[in-house]
Amino acid sequence: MHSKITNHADAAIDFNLDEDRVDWHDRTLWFIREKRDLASHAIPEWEQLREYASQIKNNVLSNLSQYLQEFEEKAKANGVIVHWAADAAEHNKIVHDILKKHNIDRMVKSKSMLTEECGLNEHLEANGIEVIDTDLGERIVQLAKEPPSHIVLPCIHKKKEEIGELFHQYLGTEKGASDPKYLTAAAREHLRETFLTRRAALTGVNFAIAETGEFVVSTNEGNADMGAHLADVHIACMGIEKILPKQHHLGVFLRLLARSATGQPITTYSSHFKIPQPHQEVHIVFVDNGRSVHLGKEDFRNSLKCIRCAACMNTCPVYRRSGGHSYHNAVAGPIGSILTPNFDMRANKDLPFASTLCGSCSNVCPVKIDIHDQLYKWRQVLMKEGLGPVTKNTSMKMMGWVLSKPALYDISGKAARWVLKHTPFVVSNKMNPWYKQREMPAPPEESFKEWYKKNRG
Amino acid sequence: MSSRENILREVLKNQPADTALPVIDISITTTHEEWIGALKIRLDILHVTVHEVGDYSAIKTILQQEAITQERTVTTIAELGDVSTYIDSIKEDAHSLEDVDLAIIPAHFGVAENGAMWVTDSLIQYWYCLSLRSNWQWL
Ligand code: SF4
Repeated sequence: MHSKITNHADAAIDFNLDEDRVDWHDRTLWFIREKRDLASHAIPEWEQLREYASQIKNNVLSNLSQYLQEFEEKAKANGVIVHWAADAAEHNKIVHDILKKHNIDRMVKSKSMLTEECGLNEHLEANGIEVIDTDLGERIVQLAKEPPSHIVLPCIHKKKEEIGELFHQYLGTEKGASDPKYLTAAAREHLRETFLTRRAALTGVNFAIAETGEFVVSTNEGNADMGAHLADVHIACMGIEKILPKQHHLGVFLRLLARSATGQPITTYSSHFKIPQPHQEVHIVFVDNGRSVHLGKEDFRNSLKCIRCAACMNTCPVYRRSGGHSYHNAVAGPIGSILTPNFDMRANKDLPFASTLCGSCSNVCPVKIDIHDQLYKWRQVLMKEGLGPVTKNTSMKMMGWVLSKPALYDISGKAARWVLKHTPFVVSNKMNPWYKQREMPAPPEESFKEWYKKNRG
Repeated sequence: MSSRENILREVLKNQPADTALPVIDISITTTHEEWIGALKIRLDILHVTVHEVGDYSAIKTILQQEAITQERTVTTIAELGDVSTYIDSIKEDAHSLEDVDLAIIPAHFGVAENGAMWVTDSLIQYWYCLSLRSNWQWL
């Protein structure tokens, strides 16, 4: 169920063709949202933690250049090799060069949205390097030749029967098997062999601490640890915004992250990497890829505080019913809709409109990003740039013209009420997307102006 | 100019005016006993079995019962070397732990609020053991 359509509304229509899937997707994500509520309500100082996290991240953004240098200095002193990549191409080249230097043509990789953003797998595969994603969900979408649809649950759009079919095809499990326990055991067995034979492992970075030069990777499967521990070369790739100033700040974020993401009290493995093991090479790649420019946009820089918990996706009524692929980017949902226009406004002009602006995303965000306000601000920018949806542009222009002429406004109102009352099929038909899943209330008998004249005039 | 210089220059140019770090003050009012209770409830939710023991011999008794169903057990605790295979980080190759069924490892401390254990390389030797186990027990 992977859509190649690059317009959210069209891709959402595609996703909605399978009603069962949409219902189940919606219910599953809402269940996770409810787990998040239970977990967060169990912490009396939850709101205080969110406030701390927000303030720490604000401080990070305002001192980012200093913290990056501090981290670099400490990491180097710890024996880690630090690289800087201006964009995706440079990031991919750095990783490829490290592998080439060690004559490595097979690598394991744990979950990293940054490498999705940079298209690393495709780049390495085009250069003859096999990459095995070791996060179970990522492995599933990799076998299905699809991108992840959710940053925490990459294959949430897939039914267990579809996963059973994939495993039958690639891992030799029984045909028709769909028991999650059986399938997970088969995947573990398959990945175990992979871990043992790969000499290079790539991981993402959840938090990098300037004070100590260490970085923390959180996973539920321990796959980042296994890969990194058994490999001769460990490459960790991070966006430059992932820095935290001090070690004691980490607790604030670890308490927020898993509770916001899945409702767990903590991610199963929170692994701290600081000093390379003997005979191991550890590399860190700092990636900019548009972030430094994004930092300069006052209205939008706040989204760089994101810790990728996906709470905003799980709660979003649009995401739950349109699926992650409809956002046609590595990061989907409300946060994807405010991040991606910073990097390419034209290609992602549809995304800020993929929202009801209900504000639920901002309410759950553990670092207090004003997500729905930014969605609204992006809409204003896009409309000004003439990049709003064509129908909206035309109707807004027409509306502006009508509203500037009171007599015309009165006549239009009357005409609309007459049409809705006597010939409703003119608007309520398949040509009008508003009526696809909705029924409209009956039109009023009179306008407010007429009512006011009669009763108060 | 290198990417490093370019990135740092752009970041410095675009970063907003300094905002202060918060002073983190989360006072803990819960007593030790309350935390132990909270920890047990938390571990129970996580399907982790908890045994309260006084010494190594009590651990051995539990392990001997456990080991009946296990094929290969290893430990990084020397005192338990007679009921399980003691492994030493210097001699053991992590790759050889592929078929371990039960790993007995010490932890520096446990966290009552979330049921996590803090372990370091020096105590655990091989993280790889961790991921082989799907059934955790606290001793
Ligand atoms: S924007 Fe907030 S809620 Fe959404 S993924 Fe980022 S941190 Fe989580």
